Amino acid sequence: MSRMRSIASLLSGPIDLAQLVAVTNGKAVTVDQLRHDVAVNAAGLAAAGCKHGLLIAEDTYWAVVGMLALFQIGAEVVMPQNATMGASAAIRKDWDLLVCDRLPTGQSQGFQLRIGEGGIHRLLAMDPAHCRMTLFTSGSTGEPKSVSKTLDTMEREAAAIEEILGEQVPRDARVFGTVTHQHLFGLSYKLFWPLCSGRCIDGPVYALWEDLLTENLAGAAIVSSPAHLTRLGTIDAVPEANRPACLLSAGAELPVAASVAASKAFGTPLCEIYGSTETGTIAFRWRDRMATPWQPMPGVAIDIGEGDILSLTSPFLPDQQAYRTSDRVVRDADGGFHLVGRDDRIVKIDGKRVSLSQVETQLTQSPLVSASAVLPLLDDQTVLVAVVVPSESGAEELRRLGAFRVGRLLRHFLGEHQEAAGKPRRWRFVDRLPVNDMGKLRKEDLLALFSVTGRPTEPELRTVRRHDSGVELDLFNSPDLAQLDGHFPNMPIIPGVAQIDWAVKLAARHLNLPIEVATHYQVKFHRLTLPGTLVTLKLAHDAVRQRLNFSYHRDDVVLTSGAIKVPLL
Amino acid sequence: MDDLERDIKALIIDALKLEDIQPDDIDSREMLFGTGLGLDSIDALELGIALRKHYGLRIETITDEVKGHFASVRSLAAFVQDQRKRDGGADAVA
Repeated sequence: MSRMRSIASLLSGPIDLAQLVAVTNGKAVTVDQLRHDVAVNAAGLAAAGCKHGLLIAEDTYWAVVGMLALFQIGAEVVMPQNATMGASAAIRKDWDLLVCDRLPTGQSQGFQLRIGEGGIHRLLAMDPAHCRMTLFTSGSTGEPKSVSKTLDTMEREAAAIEEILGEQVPRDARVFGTVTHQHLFGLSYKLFWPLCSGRCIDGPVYALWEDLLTENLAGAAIVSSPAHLTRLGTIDAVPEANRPACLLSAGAELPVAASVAASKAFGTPLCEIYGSTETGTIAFRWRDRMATPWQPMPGVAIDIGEGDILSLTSPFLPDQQAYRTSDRVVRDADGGFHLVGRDDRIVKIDGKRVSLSQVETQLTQSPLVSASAVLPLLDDQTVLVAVVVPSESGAEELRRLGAFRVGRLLRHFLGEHQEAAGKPRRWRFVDRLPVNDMGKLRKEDLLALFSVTGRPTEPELRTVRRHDSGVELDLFNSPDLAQLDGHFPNMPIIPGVAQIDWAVKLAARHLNLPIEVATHYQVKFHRLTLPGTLVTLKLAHDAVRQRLNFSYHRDDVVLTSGAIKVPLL
Repeated sequence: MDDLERDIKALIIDALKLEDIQPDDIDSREMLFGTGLGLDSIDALELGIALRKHYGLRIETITDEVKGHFASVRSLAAFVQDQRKRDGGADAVA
């Protein structure tokens, strides 16, 4: 731990000014140069009156300069999820000035970070607990959700990272990356860890392995992610003399095959990181065998609660409160744990928390099911619904028993694991689940399977009889009419509004009247109109009084009668 | 009796919002709960409410006797007729 330095001391402490901080644009940057760069930009940002700087940097060194310059003037660092102006626009209320190393395309306004000249500079002492940054993550609704951090939590995380990686990675190693520092993982591992541990930041973020492999990687650390590590392609094995000291991956669990391929190609161990924007690093594991358990980060205490959901207290969280993740885990014998499912899909049904992933996993264990998607549907209340791809035997049962009874069989099957709330009430059986290009389920298509749009909204027209005065229509009120929903539960009758609406629509069609909706009308309901019955609708246009007279009859008994105002053309 | 059984089947489908099933698909003698029609405790709750509303049945507490009435459409129909007789033939709200 003694090798760690605080950011405050880096800027104003008595340390070796010639020490290497970063390599950017092919040039080495020393502590002395960093201090000059921070000073000149802090002065510029202060002059611009910046309070909340939107930091977008392509190069990690310039992200350091922008961040420390903002801290120097007491401004907040606002880090958008990516460098697109769309991401920045979505959080427009959170920042007042764009701070960048290069202006993003199409952007003409902003503060461009510049190189500090030699000579005297003035830097202030900083309190890390009061240096604030805001990062963003995708909330459950897809809207950016802000997460606040302070410099001291980032320094504490860097110290913990040093504890797990310090032995493996030489002290003067360079830290390369294929991930951006705009996200927390990159910020922690590609920016803060080298900066606080005295290693050298490599500025660029490499999009292509080919570019990175031309660098001198001997003894280096490479901060990467499954996106890159599962796409190594046909790169040649790295020569022994150029082998990095370790590979890092975070973001999602790395498939075993990709982990093996990466370790082989680079000839180096791979450390996987598990965490989130909110929590920072939660756990790590050296990926040396099939199911290596995760070990909690130094300082992080884990707890496995109801529903196998992981909770933790951590020095990287803003307070000592337990943080509840939405990940399901099982404990390992030697203090670690295994992730069972990243489960951010928890809904409340009848006041009970239900994990959609869990229900899906359990459903798939039925011999009748080959795949399933479970989701909440807002009906009168939130109900659970399931879309199922039947297995071969499931398809056979569907033919034999029908959809209803197979759905009931599956509910019965789920009863072994789930309470009533966790058992889907409505079922659809499909050939395959609707997915988009990314392989993600399309929720709107799933929900459409349950929509009422397939049901009739008008009675079926059986006969039309024309008179001089108007028209008589024989109509069958289908028991499936969509209008029957929600009006009179348990007592299906055709609502009056529907009857008026139909009179207007059918008059427009059969009498060529220029009306779309009834704005002024009189109506009298003599008898109930029931679904499943044949009725006669009489329509007559009274041109003089500008009205449409209508009446519904059943066996010569008047059910409903009224008049609707017809506007003049 | 057949009409009443058919009404009860329609009521079950309507009250429980059962899909992909018609009154004729339900056998009057098959078990409503468990292995037969596969209704469960929440369904029983909702069916009880619907029966009270529709036929004016008084089901105060779930006793073993009541459970017997709920065994099948046929036993429910018998239960409804029995209560109607006791109430002096007063018909239910339709």
